[in-house]
Amino acid sequence: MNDALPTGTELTPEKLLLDQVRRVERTRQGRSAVHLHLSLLKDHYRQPHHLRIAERAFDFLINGTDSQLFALAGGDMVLMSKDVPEGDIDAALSKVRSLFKGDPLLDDDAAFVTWYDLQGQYRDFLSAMEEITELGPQVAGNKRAAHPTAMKAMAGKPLTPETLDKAITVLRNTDIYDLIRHQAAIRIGGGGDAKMLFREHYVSIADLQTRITPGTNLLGNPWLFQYFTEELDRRMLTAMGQRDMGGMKHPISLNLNLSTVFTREFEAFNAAVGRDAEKVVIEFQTMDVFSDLPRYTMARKHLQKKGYKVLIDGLNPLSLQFFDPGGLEPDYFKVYWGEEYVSGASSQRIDEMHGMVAAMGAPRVLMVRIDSEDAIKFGLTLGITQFQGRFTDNLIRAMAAKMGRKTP
Amino acid sequence: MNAPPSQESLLLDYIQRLEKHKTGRAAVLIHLSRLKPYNRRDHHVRAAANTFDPLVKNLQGQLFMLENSDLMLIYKKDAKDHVDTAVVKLKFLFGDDPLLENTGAKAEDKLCSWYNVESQYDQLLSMVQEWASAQVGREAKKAGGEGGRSNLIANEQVGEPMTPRQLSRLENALLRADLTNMVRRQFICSLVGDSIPQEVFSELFIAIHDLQQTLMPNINLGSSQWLFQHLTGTLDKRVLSMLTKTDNRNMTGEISINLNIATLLSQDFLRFDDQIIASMRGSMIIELHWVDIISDLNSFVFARDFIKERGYRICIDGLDEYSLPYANRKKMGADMVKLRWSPALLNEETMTIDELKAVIEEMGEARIILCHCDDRGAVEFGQAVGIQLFQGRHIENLLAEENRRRNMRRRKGFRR
Repeated sequence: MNDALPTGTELTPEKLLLDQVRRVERTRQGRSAVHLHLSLLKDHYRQPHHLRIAERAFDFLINGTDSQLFALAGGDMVLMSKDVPEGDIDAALSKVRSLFKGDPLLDDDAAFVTWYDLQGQYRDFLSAMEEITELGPQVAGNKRAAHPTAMKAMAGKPLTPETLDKAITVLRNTDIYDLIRHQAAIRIGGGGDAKMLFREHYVSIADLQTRITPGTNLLGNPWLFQYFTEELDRRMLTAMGQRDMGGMKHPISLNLNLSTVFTREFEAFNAAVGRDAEKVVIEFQTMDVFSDLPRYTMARKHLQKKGYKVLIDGLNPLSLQFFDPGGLEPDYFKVYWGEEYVSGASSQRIDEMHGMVAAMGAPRVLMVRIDSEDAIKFGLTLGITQFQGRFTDNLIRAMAAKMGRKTP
Repeated sequence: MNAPPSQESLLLDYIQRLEKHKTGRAAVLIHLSRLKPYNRRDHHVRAAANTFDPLVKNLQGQLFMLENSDLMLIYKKDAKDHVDTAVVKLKFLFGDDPLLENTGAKAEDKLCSWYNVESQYDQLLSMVQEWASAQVGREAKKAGGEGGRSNLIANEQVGEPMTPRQLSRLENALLRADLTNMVRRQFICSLVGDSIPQEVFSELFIAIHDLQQTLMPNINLGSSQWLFQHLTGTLDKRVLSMLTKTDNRNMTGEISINLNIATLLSQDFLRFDDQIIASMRGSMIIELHWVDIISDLNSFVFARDFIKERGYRICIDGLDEYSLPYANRKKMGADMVKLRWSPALLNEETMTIDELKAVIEEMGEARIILCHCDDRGAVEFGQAVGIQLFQGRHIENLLAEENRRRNMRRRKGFRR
């Protein structure tokens, strides 16, 4: 197994795999191989710890039979066995399947795994292995660049308590005004016209990292990052306060921690906003809300009384399967429906989603990560009329351009 | 170690010294203790106290935060307007509390009691003396405390809030500290009526209170949920390596340990899983904290399926009367859940008894553990709503009592 392999730079799993494939050329009888295309999993599932655990599924084969497992750089795994019943190998594969069952790759078994009987298919196997081992690391590299998850895209060592301390100290003395980005959320009216709902204002963490902690991955440790955002909130509020908050053209939204609502910085922000509070949406993370529900209720009532709108961020179909957030009574729910739901969801899944939207109340639902018109169409079929994402940003820009032409 | 002086004793000291300077001074006692419990948690009290910061900074007043959450402000009379402004802010902050309903101009002020130090000095002094002596009594009683994980977060202990730098120092200290004498064991028992508690399994945990006292006295390790959550990840590694040591006597019977989801997905857990005997897995329950689960449901599902497949069982920890209605045991695929006892359950503040009974029935009566049962009342309440499994100091006392009785019978020669 992998653990037993030397970790030197020369002996990569790819090389060892190819050696083994070539070595067995003359003793092909009783040999089989399976190639698991785990590099095709969604980024979320292709993280090292997931793959490590997937390797475990083969332990009983490695230890009890003549089998070897090669875990390749891109995530793919190849198991080579001799005289092992197909059923045993399938048992191991079932375990892997159950681990990744949330991933659309598993919907198509042919895409997930390729079986080879080496007696008859040795040539195919050899050329397939030559291909993946040659391209392996390179393909993986490109893929990551093309679909960066937040965690991987950010270079550097994960945050530690020590680097967190430094990051906060630097942040306190950094102006972040120019790092504030925004994205439009829209509401589609009965006639199909799009109206601006609000503009979410947020700090680009990648840019912030480049400015204040190059070499440290701010998102590398979720708990410490959460702590960091408490300071970031205060800087954000101060930066927003520098703007002329009175007479805002469009409503805005801000991401805050619950604890921030009870700080002096928020009080100052509140004073600057004045009567425009009803044009401000405050977004809270689901985790933050559930970590202290009484505090959430207090913050929500406090904010709503002043006219603010409250939004619960970070919901997705999985979380909605686990709990019904309806009782939280915010003004909006932000739900991330991935591409895999948009295209080709089964009718059963669609029924489930109808139920979820109904439970939250369709007028409160805001569908996010909208990258295409199709996503909006999908949302509309569920009764959702509010959207946010790259595509809505473009839509608003296009509308503004059109308006510009109409009104010289 | 000397405990820092309490606010009550500082206040007493201050009042005594004020005797010669009482002219032109007034005091206001703000009864935060009269607010509903959910309105007077640590951060509320801090927020309330902050309102008076400018006064204190300008040396126009002195603020004391009492043990029962009440605030006492002694101020110069010229600052009365500022005090009034601060009080208005406070009333706004707690505006949704029933205490502050019907606050018309003529309504009685239930939040504040006002004193003129000059004319009411003796009254003030005797009142404060009483508080100070009562506080000393409480302090002595508290010294024997217990402390698992969720306990610490909820208890909001006193002490300076922990900073990232202190966390870093603590984690370095943990690398060398011997934690074996900080491991505690508490039993989860089934309790029907007045019968003897039957041990079902035991929870092994590191006594955070002891850890704090030993390594970071005066620092409140639970002041930030997020820093604390990170710390538990470090403790996880130590617990796993302690458990792999074969001479560990505590590894008998069914046991539960608290772990983070990230730990379950780490090399440390895989190594642990490799080293323990297979039969052991079947008698182990992994307790996962509700907030940890909510923070990354995808990882939870992944880790859950992995450890269940290996034979471990799962218990969801960290639920209270607020989060319980959101946690669906069956949908989450957990074997058990733990609900933290709180008198608020009795007062039906968030759920009526009937609603609670329905939730418990849906979970499965034998699947829910009422923990932190410190007194008989908690158990009686639990039994009344259908709960069968209990954990806490009261249960430990019952077990100890039962042991004493058994030993006594033995000594008297009632052996079989």
